[in-house]
Amino acid sequence: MLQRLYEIFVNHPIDLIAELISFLPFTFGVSRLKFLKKGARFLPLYFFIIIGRDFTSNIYAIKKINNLFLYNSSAFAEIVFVALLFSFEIHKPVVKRIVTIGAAITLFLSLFFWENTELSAGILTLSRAYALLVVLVYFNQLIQDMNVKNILKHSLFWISSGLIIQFTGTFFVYLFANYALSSNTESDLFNLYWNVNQFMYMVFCLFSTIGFWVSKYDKENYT
Amino acid sequence: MKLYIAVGTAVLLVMAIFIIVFVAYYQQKQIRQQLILKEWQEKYRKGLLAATLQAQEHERRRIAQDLHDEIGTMLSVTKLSLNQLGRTVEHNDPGSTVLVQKTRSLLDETIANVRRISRDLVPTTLERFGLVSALEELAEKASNGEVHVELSCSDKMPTLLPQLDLTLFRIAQELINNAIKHANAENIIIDLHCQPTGILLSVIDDGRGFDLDEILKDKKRGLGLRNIESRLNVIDGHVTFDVEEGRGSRIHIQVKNLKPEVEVEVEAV
Repeated sequence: MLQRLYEIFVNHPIDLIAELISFLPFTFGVSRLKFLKKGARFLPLYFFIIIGRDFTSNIYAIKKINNLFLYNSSAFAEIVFVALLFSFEIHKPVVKRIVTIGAAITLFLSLFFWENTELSAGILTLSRAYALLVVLVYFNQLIQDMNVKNILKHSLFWISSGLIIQFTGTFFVYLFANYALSSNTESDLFNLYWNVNQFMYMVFCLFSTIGFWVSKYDKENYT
Repeated sequence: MKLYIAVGTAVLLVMAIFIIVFVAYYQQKQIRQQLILKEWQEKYRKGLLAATLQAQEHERRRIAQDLHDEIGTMLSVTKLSLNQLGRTVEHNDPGSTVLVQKTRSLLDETIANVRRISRDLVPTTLERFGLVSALEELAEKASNGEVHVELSCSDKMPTLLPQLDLTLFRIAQELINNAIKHANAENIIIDLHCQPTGILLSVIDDGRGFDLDEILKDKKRGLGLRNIESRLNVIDGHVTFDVEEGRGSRIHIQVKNLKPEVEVEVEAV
């Protein structure tokens, strides 16, 4: 069993790095929990779910069971956590309501695209489109409010930047997942797109870690 | 398809990075501008406060001069006339002599009061001999049978800027006045020391103290304390109130010595 796991990681080293790197934001998030704002407190839980997903996914891979449905289901978690993260940070009640209702609609629509044995282009694209819109709304609020003294010491700026990079970097890959990440795709091509996806996730993890690190300045960072 | 995905991803990524950089840059720029604006407003407010205090001093000087030159002179002339009248009355109407003497003593008292008010309005000792001498005079004037005011200061005091001298003097004046008038203090110590960080002035009394928060909350009261804070604000000074109801007060004023010049030997009292 361990031999099989070793073989998987030798063949897919980026996957191993991406799985290990999840521990970084998780550890920092937990250690900085008392500094984190309400919404951001859910993020370490998200990383914990991702660690759990990767662990389960490895066991399935060892047993040669299809594990792609795990990635489809984690997209649902992404939608929920993005909604939780930003709904506490967005002040305008109307926008807040739009974010919450948007999450509910995205979750509902995603159900129609559910696939057990393939990565669902519909679910993954919808979750990314929703998250991108919410992050842009938050950036717009940052510019309008102008209440952050030093943006580079603002935790949610780093987390949002990580999210936007991850989601824009993987948007087209998932939009054409039926071509790029299907079971019929050539192995090399699949690996290429999968590695892009993992690389973008690593960027998100690093940005989130910085976000958690600077969260200690958040309290005094408002005008 | 491969090309579409690559180009699409690249375009979206560039857009995302552009948005992130734009948000960070724009936000920082705006915040910097806001801070500059706040700094300007603070500077303007301080300037306005300084101008108000200066105008107040000018007005005091003008009133003191008018009192001394016009009313004082008029009273002296009146006294001269009264003396002449007294001499005449003494011969013709001895019964009115008492009335003349009474009027003369009232006039003397008025002349003394006018002089005192005029001196209080402009601290001439401060201008002529500096802060230590002015505080000595203040302590001496405030001391009487019931109140004892003592000055304790460093042997060597640097010459301060006139504005700093005046601010510290006015604050000491206000605090001593408060200690006598409101706290019923019997012993007051004015402590003036030069430290490497600046000048430290402390006024310590054994009066009945006061509740600082309560006084500052009430807009009608605490005008003197607010005035002290305003004066210190202009010269970037700092006040610490170590006060409590039922015990004496310790009020410490710390200011930066903006222009240390010649050191003056002072005999400690």
